[in-house]
Amino acid sequence: MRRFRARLESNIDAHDSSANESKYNFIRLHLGTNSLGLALAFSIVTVIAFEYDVLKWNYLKGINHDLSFFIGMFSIILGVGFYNFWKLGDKSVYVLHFTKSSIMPRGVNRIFDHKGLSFGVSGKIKLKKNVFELSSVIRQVLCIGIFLNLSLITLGNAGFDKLKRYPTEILQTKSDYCEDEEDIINAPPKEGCELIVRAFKLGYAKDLGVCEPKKLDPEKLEVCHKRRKDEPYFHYKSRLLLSFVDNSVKFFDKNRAKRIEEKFRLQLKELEVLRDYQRYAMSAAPRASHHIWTNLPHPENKLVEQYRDIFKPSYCIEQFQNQTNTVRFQEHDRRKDSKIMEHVYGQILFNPKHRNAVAFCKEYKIHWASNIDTCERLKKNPKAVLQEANVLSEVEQVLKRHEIAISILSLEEKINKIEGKANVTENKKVKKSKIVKGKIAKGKNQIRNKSELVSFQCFMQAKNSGHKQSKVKLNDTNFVVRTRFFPKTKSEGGVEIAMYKEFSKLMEKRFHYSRLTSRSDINIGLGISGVASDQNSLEAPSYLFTRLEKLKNVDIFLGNKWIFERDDLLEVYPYHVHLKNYVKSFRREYSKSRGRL
Amino acid sequence: MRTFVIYINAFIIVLGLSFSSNCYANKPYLQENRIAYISKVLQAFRETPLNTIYNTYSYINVIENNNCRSSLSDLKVECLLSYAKNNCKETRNAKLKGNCEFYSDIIVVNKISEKTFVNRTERYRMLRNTNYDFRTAMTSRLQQKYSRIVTELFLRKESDCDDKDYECLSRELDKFCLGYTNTHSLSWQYCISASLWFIGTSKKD
Repeated sequence: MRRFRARLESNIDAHDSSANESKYNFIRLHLGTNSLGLALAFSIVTVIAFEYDVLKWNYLKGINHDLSFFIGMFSIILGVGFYNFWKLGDKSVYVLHFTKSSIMPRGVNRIFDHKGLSFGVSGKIKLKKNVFELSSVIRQVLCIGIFLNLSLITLGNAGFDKLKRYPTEILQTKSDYCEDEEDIINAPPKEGCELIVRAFKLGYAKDLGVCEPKKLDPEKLEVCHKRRKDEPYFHYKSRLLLSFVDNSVKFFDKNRAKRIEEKFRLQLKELEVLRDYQRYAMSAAPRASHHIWTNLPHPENKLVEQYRDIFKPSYCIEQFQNQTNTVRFQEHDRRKDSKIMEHVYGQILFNPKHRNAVAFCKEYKIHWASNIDTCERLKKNPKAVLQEANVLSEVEQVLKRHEIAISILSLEEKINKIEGKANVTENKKVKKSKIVKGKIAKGKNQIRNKSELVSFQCFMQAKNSGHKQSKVKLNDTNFVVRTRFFPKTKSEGGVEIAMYKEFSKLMEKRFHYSRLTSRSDINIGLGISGVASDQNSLEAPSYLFTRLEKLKNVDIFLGNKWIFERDDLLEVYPYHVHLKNYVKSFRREYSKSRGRL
Repeated sequence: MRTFVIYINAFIIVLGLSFSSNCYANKPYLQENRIAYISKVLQAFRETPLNTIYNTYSYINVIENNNCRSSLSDLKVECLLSYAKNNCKETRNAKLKGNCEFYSDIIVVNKISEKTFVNRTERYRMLRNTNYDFRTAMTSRLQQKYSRIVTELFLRKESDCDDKDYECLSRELDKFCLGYTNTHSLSWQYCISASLWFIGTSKKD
């Protein structure tokens, strides 16, 4: 019974193994190690190259001509050399076998057997037909490909440039040596100075200016630490080494290292502030945020405004840079007042023609078509109104940036103190800390208040003129909110001037334009120009152009109403003369109370 | 009664006409008046020999440097105006007198605008670098500046006037200078006078 059972089991095993063998009949791999190794090396290097993004088309396009030539030459020479040196074109010495156990050639070292399959390695077995080898051309191409990928991974444009400069960096140039007295005196004229020197010699020029040769001043002579002309190379290098050691010793001496540690600890404490400061600077976060709400409609179509907000965020810079002196509009344009307001807003705050602009237009926003009670609502619930206008985050960012600026300045003060103490003892000049790269302010007392960086005002068209002032509390800071109501002006000529007056009063309460600030000449005995004699003179039919010169002394911003009745004169009025003066006076006053970080 | 009504109507019409003409006369800077005036200036330049124009130019120049020297612009303008008027009064022929007034107007304005065209720094530089007469250098520099304005005028796409069509040219010039004043902050009369001087003195005598 036992014998029968044993025979049965052996029969089943034999049946299983024969079944497995028939299953893996197609597996008959005899691979040459040369081909396999090359293919594997190429695949690994290619994957790494992909990971480093050096096989991307954009990167390859950016490689300069010199580098691409070098990479090509480098990979071909090394690839071919590598191929020949390791005799990779010959048949492989070792062969890897992966076949059915029954057909595994004799003399193969079997590494493992599993379910009728065997894997083994053989050396120097003559299997002429069955061994798979890549053709020699492909193997050569793979060798070149490996080096091509390697050079792409290791060399970039910048690296290659450095490599090119390296020989000149090692070799010393003339300027690395100390100059002799003779060298200074007999130095050839500077580049481009030949003509001036010649003119000077001939007497056409009185002095040589920048072309004058260097003169030796015994008081200004300093010890030269460069290499002397007769100094041996190794002596020079040893001198450098000694001075390095000397400097290192000095560095650890006199608590310098301790001071550096102290500074580092201070900065580490304020790491978050420093990080935020850099983040705001890099993201070009606003340095101020000023908002004007008006019930006037948008001067242009709302879709145009939305398009500009999305696709042309810096449109305002261009718009106010090329502003004309006056604004043109159709007689019955319903957006006429808005256009005038936008023009006035640009002129008095941003137009760079009138000296330095006092504000950056991207930090200002007019909220068109707002409700007349916006400022009332702002007083009650500032956050809700700002949220509704989509500017709350911007305003909060500016307030946060202000706090960061204060922290950074106090940190800088502390660091300067540490450095200052040390420097006083060492009798050296106090060096400024480099924490604050972009200048915030010279000191804490010079930094703007929050209420100067953020402002809210309402400019509403109403039946009667008037103004209001209220206080709003936002993030523990009190802000004064000004509301100005202005009536619709009927007189065509004076609309623009009336708008200038109203808007400038809204933006700066203390601004006052008077005869003293005007550019008009004061005539002795007659008072200011613009009296009846000017009117009569400008009615005469002769010398029309010369008479117009008188208008330069008639300041339209001072309320010379007779000129608004003369539509002919308004057409040729020299707006630029008084506008420039008006804007300059306004900006002088405005910059005292408003600004940016 | 009927005759009375006719008289009344006639009176009203005459009154209305005189009022409207008075309005028109009191506003010499209306567009149409400006264009007519520019045309007349162009005509005056065409009809007057260059020598005469340059003589007036030299005269105004001397007056400005001597008799009319003042830091008050109004005073200076009045002074130049009265001297220019007196100078033209001496001409007996009414037409020549009229022409004299037109080109004198241009010369006076150009004289006043010199400082706007060539600023202090530029003048100083010219003084340093000029080996010959400063006035000649200044005149040629001004001519260059005027030529720039005229070139801009003629290079505009819409500029399409015949050389002898003064009305068209005047209209174009007026329109161009209104725009120029608005964008370049140069007074309208400076732009017009500079262009008229350049066009007027560029003719072959």
